[in-house]
Amino acid sequence: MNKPFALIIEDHADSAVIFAEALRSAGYETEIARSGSEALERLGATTPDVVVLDLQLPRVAGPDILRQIRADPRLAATHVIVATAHPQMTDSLAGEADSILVKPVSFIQLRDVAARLLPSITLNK
Amino acid sequence: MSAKELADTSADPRLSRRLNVLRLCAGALALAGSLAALFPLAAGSLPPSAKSALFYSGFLAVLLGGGSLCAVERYRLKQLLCDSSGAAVDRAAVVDLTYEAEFDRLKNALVSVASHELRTPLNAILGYTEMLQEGTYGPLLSEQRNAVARIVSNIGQLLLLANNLLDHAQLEAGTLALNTVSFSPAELMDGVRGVMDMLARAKNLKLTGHIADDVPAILSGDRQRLHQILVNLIGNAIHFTDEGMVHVRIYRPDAAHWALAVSDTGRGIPEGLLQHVFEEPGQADNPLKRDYSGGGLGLSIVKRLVALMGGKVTVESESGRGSTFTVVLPLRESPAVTREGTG
Repeated sequence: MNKPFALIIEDHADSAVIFAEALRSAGYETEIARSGSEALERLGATTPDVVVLDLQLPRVAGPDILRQIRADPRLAATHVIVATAHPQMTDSLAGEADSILVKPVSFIQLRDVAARLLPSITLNK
Repeated sequence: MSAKELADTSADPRLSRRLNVLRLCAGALALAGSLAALFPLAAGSLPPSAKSALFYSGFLAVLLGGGSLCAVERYRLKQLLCDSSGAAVDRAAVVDLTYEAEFDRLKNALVSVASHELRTPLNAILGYTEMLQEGTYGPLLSEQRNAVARIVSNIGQLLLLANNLLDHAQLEAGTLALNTVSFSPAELMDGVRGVMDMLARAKNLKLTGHIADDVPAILSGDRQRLHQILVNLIGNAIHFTDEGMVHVRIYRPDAAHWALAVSDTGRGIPEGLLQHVFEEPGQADNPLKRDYSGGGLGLSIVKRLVALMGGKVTVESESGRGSTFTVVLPLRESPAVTREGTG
């Protein structure tokens, strides 16, 4: 069986590596998109089970990406974990994101959050 | 106000460039600090005292980096108070009408920017440290494990500081508005424990939690601020507890209220000092400012947030036998329709 797939949308290189490793150790295949536009391009070409989304991104902002994911029926089953350095930006996203983590995000916490999503992903496949 | 907006208010491009160079220097200093803190991991043969020295110099450098950022913004404020030819504008008018308000505005904007900008490097430092701890790069020797645990504990303190600076700035500016949503007390407890477990583990303390059966499954309140209150109380408890445990309880003291209580088995607070624990650390007559540095800002913020929520925070403590901080809030059950997302 294929591994679940996670797209990490994060422009800060170190954070992207850490988030990818957290998801990988929870059992996901991972890919990193380093800008909002690259993220939209990857979201058009793939169907991630989980998206880890930074909010402050070059070119297309995180909240716009989240809205586009939620508006796309093809991505209806995609779980979105928001990871942001701007806690005050998260209040308006409460209904749209599956999980909101404020940076610094604990590697262990992100790995656990991702692992908890696994059963619902396997059921959907 | 975002970093970008703050940068945009600087009209002179040369000034902007100079400021950016200074910001870069401050950032580099902070980075050097992180590296110095991590360096002993590579040099496994260093004696423990040399490692401690390196840790503290490292974290000091991080703080100096932040301090330099403050200095950079002060410099910018000075520039703002001069006209474009470099001559000082009418001082009296500036002082009377603009200086104080502008300084306050800049100070609060700066604190808010600095606390956001602290989060990104902190995220990398915390992530790599936890990956070392989890054995992603291979098993650690026991001394290395201790060193890593101490890095995690210091990161936790920096994180508390970043959160508190932001809340403090908003409270001072009067811009902190409560955002009342429906939330699950169980999720609140889980979220807080997810963050604080690592700090407790770093000190070999047990962090436990319990929610009484009569607490409604969904409550109404500002979830993010309640999280901040718990993080401060638990952070404070961990800071002052060297062995034993920290226990968090959510319960109903009576029909009209619900309560959060954080108890520890720490050193406790002598009776004469109890009345001062919620004061701001800067107050001259606060006798706690020496021995209990680090706890002050968090507890004074807790007190102000709880007051905004229409509640009350109290402390019971006995020297040598631990402390219990209790926050009592009016119980507002939530209308089911506005149920917040799982985040």
